[in-house]
Amino acid sequence: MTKNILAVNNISKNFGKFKAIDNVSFSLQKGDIYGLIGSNGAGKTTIMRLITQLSPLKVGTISLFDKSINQQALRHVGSVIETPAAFDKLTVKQNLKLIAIQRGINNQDKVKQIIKFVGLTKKVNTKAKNLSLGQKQRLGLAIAILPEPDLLILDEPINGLDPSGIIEFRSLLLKLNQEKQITILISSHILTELYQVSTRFGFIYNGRLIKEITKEELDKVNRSGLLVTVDNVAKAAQIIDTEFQNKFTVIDDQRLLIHSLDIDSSELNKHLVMNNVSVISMTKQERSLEDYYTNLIGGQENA
Amino acid sequence: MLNQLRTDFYRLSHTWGIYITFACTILYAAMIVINNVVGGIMVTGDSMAKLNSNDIWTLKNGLNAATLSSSLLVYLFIGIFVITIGYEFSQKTYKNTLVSGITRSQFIISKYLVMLINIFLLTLIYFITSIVSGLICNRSVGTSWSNLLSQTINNSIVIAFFISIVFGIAILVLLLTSSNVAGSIFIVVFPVIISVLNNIANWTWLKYIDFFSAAMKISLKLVTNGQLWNYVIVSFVVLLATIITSTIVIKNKEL
Repeated sequence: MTKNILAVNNISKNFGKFKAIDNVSFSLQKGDIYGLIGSNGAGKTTIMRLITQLSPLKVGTISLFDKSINQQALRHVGSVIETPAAFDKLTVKQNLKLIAIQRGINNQDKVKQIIKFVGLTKKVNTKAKNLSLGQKQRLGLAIAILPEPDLLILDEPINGLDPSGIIEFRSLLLKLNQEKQITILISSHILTELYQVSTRFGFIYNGRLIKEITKEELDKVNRSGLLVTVDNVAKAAQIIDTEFQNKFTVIDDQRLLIHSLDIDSSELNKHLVMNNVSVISMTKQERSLEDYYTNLIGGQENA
Repeated sequence: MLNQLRTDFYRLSHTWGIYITFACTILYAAMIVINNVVGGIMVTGDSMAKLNSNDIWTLKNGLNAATLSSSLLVYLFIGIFVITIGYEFSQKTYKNTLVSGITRSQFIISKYLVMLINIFLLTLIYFITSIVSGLICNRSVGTSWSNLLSQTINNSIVIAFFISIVFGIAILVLLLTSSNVAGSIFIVVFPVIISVLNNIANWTWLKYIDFFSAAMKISLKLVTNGQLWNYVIVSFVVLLATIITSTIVIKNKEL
């Protein structure tokens, strides 16, 4: 049975007459990386602030780990909301030691491990105020993951990172999700990055959750994947099914679409040829998350 | 909450501001005793004259002078307020603190306690410095050592407690205004306003919230037992109301 890590039910939030969040519901199961997508002011940060109780919740309910949200449940949550927060005058190490004391973590090695994990080893004795924006993001992430949370909430964590930082950050998130089984709720404007890490997506528009979709469904809708043209599609389908376990759609008697761009195409080619299936062509077919988002939002604006 | 107290003490111990406050406190106490001067915003000419009438101060005179001058301690200790809770809001680190598992009320109480303990320790250091300075000047005790030491402890407790009430109200001001500066200004202005109102208005109840005068009167045993309880009850009620209101405000605040 999948475990509900977070359940947001019919939450709404008004700032004066402005309706920032309008009856939003969604849930995260263990292991999800849920990407919240929306333009500036759509309500992504407000949702995250409501979950972490930085904004008082008046309408709707939020459950963490199948229990109504409270301060104790928040112990199992790590978050970086809006900007990473650290004491300017303390060094990277002191800031993390502070969090260790606050969370009752006695293992001193853990601070060192986390510093290494986020790639701040060379900045260990640098004051937080002297860190670059990217380094501050890493410190923010370190602060959030030090207590080994079950749920990580990251609001625009890629902002300020250079290209290599973005790549490292992506692998960090995947490592946290896969190795430490941390469920992640993440928002970003950089949709290509969000696409690469998320397993599910929620689209927010004017405070409403207008669409939820899994990555698999998105790829299917976008018809993204590897388009394979062969002489014997039935046999090819059988081989892919038994050898690769990837989902695919047979398009016609010569073409099939594998719903994943991660498949090793040379390995696939080798297997098909070895089984006497002639491969006529293999082409990557991509429509991006951005295309999907643009269509979705365009549809809303025209509605 | 214990972890939060430990966290704040760790942070304070790694901040220059607390050591500067410590040094200033020692200098201020030494200056009073060595130079035979009394200063402070609530000190009357009579009380100063009374002390100055002694040509050579004893250690007890020095302690009394330090007590009369203690109203200025509140300004020296503003750094404690800024470092303990002001930084949390100016640097938005409350976002980390408030998801660490403590409740809003625990957050407010722990911040108050950290300030109270720091104020008490620094006040104690202030009075001990006044005694040590007197000893360096080869002055006589002027009373028994046990009296002198118990007065030192008592004065430290009373003065620290009354200063802490103003700091507690400053937490509420900070939360209401979301401004570290407003909280600090409140600490600076509060004793002056009370003192001025006390001089121009005839409100007898004002003396109960004139926390600095109350601290000095109690320390110098200028109040009767009956009045003492009035001061104590009013102070505790104000403190409790401040903590409860601060908790309600932070619970309903967009952080």
